[in-house]
Amino acid sequence: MARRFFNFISSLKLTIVCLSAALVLVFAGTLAQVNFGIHEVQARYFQSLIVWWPAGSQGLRIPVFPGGHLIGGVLLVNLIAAHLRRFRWSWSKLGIHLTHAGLILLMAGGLFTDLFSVESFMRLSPGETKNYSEDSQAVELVVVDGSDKEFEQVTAIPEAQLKRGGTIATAGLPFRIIVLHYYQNARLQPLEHGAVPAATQGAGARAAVSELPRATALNERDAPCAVIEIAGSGPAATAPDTWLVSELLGEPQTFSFAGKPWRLAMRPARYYKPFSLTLQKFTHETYPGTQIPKNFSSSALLRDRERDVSRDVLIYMNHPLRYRGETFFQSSFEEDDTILQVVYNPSFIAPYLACVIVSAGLLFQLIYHFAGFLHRRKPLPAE
Amino acid sequence: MNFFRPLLCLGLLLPYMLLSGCKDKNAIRVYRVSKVEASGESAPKSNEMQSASGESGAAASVQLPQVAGNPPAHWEARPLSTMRQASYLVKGANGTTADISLVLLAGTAGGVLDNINRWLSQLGQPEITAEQLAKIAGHVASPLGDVTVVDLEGLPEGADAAKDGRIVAGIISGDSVSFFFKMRGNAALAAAQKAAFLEWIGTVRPAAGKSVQLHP
Repeated sequence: MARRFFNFISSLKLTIVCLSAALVLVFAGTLAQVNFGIHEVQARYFQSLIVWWPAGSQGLRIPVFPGGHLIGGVLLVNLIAAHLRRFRWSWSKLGIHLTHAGLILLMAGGLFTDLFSVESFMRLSPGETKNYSEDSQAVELVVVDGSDKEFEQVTAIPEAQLKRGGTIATAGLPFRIIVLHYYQNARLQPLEHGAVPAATQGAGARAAVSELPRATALNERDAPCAVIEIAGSGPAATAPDTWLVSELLGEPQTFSFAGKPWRLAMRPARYYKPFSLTLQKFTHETYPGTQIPKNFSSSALLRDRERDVSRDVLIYMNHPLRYRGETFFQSSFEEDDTILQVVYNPSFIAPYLACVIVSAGLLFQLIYHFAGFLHRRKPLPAE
Repeated sequence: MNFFRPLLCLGLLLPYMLLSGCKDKNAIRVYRVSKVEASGESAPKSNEMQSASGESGAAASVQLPQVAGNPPAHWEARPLSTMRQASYLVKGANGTTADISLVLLAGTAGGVLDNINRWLSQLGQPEITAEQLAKIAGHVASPLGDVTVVDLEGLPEGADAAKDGRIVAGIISGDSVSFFFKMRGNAALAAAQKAAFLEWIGTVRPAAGKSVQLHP
């Protein structure tokens, strides 16, 4: 049994099946981008163990194909198992062993990047200071308790929990949040005669929601919104208050619960950092007579109180700032604002290391066999 | 053919599946941000950061016990904030001070080792392991339970030695609520106040008949 399993997991046939499945998955995923957009396809097809097909509107899902993580994982184990099965130490095989080790590292690094890397953006106006970056896709509902003089307590509820619906209760809040409706992409409109307001309180009482199809173009994003109810623990004596939350509303809405003021807002998901950046100057140069960027750079002040760091940094194209495991790239700009792409990738070194190991293995193999060839070559007989 | 190689393959595959399945960025986060950062930045206080499952049907709020203690008379009471259930300042010679606080958080709030390592990092010191912690930790009995106590020393770069250099702290890490007793300040002053601090910890008890929500 064990032998059969080991033979199966280390077989070349399994490699071929996995590579074929990967081809099919990439093809299907590419086609699916037309309907779902690149980010949704990445999550559904490539960053999952199974590709699910939603059958009907009852929430039933049927597994239809192995996802990217499953195919990649089996390939990785297949490669390691094949290596274990055929491993025989000799100098003549050292290059092959190194090459395989590099490939294993490359695949494992890819998995870790996919699992643990975080990509976000930091937009700064001149003179502005921020110690957080924002997700370009995900949003969060924040409920802020501002009753303390020194601090605000923020409860950040990720979009996935809103999407799931139902009741959200957490230790950070003295009330429950009931998600009545969730719209993946929607437009807000002023109330017209006869239209039903989206909510009973706040801006939602003056607006109607119309659902839109998912944004699939690269330069578009969904505008999620939700209608929620703030519910106390006791029995409701009156009709519950409902609120509309959406990025499109801009300013946070305020309400009172148990005599305390609270704020409510939907915003891009934030990633806080133990340091801050202050934009001192943003420079944008174009080639004369054109709008083609020649150079754009951000001069910023980096401050880290924990490490007692306060220094000027210059971020420009191909010259990112690397600090505390994060990399800040000069990404783009809008008017006088600079937009920095912030990448946290704990396994960023893996592909570099893997390439070095693979190159060393191939080079060793070439030199070893070439030297052997020269050694075996017989001298031509003398005339 | 032995069992080692197939088992090794299984051993590789299973963690992979688990890793792949545990990619969960969907937990509710609760954190505090400063209102008074002049620069406009709003640093979350990671020591009070916590996660909650947010599962449907969970309790609407966590009831934390209100506590009372007998602080020494020379400790100057300070205004309480959302998290601080007790706050004192003690002053020594030459302008030295130490800040004393009691913070209650729902859940384990990171556990004992992580919080002690966080305090070490605040003092510019390297992290320690659980084995090292077992060697340096002491224990104090209190009406709230067994308190794990540590005495940490170090002056981070650029810090004011009159106000920093030592943390004497105690933790009760429970499943439903965690208690954090902390004295941070001038090293000599904190050392001198350590006995009084530990004595105070031993007096902190649930206030009879009272309870308070996590965020009053």
